[in-house]
Amino acid sequence: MGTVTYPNAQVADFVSEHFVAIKFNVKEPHPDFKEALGRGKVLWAPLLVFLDGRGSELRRYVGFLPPDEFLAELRLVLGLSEMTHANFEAALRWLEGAAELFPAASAAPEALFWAAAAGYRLKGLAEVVRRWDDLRARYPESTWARRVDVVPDEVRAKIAAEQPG
Amino acid sequence: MTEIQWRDRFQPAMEEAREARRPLLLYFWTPE
Repeated sequence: MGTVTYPNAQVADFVSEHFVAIKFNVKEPHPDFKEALGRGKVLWAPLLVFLDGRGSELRRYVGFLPPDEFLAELRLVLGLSEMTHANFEAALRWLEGAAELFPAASAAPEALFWAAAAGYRLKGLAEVVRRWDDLRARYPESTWARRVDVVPDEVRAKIAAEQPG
Repeated sequence: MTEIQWRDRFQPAMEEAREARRPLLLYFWTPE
């Protein structure tokens, strides 16, 4: 991360604009290490932990991320952060942006999963089903597609009956 | 070119994140 991803200009600009960043060398004692890590452990590094401004964990990721994967991941985190503040329109912009700008990133199908959740909060059941169908069509092999393969036929029929026209 | 400004203390970073309404990125790394 330190030699490839963080020096990347897009990454550096994006992190600087949207995050507050702090790093810990796990091999060196640091007075804030335990407090920052919380109840978790560092089983492997690099480990990324994202917290909101109240200290609640938004996400953690273990392992290397190349720049494009990291930029998608950061947008996903921003979307999750907006969701915790019930800013679902803003969340949608970040989450859809992650998938649109970095469709090959491993975070892309997950971003669409959370976009569907935000869509549900904004527009209800028909919207989440529409977004789940889109996720399954775009990323049929992803674990996120399997997680949304749950809509019974009677629910689809009910949604269809409620559609205008 | 922008470089990431890594903070070195947790509580001040938390406070900054709260005031700026930004998430905090904690990066745990090893030199190897």
